[in-house]
Amino acid sequence: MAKKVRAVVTLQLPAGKANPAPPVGPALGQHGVNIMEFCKDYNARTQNMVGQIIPAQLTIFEDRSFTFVLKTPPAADMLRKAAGIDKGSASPRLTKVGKVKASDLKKIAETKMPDLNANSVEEAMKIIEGTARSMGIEVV
Amino acid sequence: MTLWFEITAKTPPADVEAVSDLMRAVSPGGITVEEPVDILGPEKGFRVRGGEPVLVRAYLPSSELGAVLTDDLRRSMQAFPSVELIARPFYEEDWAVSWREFFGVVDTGGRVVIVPTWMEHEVSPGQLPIRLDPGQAFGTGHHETTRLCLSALEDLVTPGVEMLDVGTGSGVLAIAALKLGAARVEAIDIDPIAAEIARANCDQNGVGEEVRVSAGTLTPEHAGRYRLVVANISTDANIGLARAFGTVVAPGGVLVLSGILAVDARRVAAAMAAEGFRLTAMRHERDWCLLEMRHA
Repeated sequence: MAKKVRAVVTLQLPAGKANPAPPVGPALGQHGVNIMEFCKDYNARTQNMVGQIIPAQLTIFEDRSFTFVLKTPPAADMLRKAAGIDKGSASPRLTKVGKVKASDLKKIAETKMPDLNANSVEEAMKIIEGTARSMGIEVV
Repeated sequence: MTLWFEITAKTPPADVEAVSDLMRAVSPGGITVEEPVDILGPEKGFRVRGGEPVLVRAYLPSSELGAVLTDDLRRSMQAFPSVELIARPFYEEDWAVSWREFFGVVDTGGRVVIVPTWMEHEVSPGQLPIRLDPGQAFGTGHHETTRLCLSALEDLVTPGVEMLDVGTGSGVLAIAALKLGAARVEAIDIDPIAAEIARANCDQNGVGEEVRVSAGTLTPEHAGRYRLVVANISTDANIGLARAFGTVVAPGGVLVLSGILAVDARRVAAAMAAEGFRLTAMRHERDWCLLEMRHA
């Protein structure tokens, strides 16, 4: 049966730990999605990635059914881990809070390639470098 | 009734990664990111509108801690002057059951049909209706893992059998087993709220007397021995209970395991083999699978 998309929502959740509390409850409840069903599905698929943030992009259809695909962890998360810092800079242009090596940047770019609108790893590296800049992380 | 604040940051695409990172820092349960999309026609999906602001949302409890976190967030966001922050209060109960109005009668593919307690449904001959209010517990019959269990129970429940239902959730499998001819069911769930919901659903279906529901974890010291044990939980939870299954499933008895992705089936089967279980059948629906195992 032809299905019409009702909404597209990406949830960035701790792997294996989805539960009906916010953000899952309000984000999905408003679209009439069965919340427990999503949580069970998400947790089963991310059980081996606990400790990481794993985004799930949900496509919700008019009949309230849904599908979702898992994405790679957020670039900012990987950059913070590579730089060994807890938080980005409050004024990224003036205060630098950490450094990552070009080799780290390349590794992150390679991991993120499937989710980035980039034709090459070099292009992907430029995108990740932009994120690093906006967090006050220098590439050395 | 808990009050929450939904903080929305209207963010230019280039800043989404950095802003999401700041939002995650105050919202450990996670955040949502909504890109502007054009919904195309049926079967055509959607297209992201590039260049337009993206909505990043975090959820904070309206408590002192929530106020401190909101202040933190506002300060951090000063580095992103083009980001617009909007706060909206809302009550927890608004969403906890909001999806219910869309929950209809579920035809599970077999004799069992699941009818929400707030709906009328005319039962056809041969159908076994289960009246259900899942509340916050799992098991509405919509999910593949529940449907796989229901189809297995239709084949495996013999008249008068006693069954153990591990991770009962809404109680749907316990009720189905009794409707299919089981004499008694013991149902257990680690979540006390689920146990309460299961109890209410059993009463609603007139089988409250035949089901003993308790909240807790199954251990190898559990007293009962059963010819049929069903567990619709998760791969890791199933593996973690392998030793307990080894004691509660009677010799020659059947263990039905669900909540398992097909890719994890071998791992689960291996853990159970170590406790004397032999894989006798597998059922599949989409990428989920159900394992039927017999105890030596």
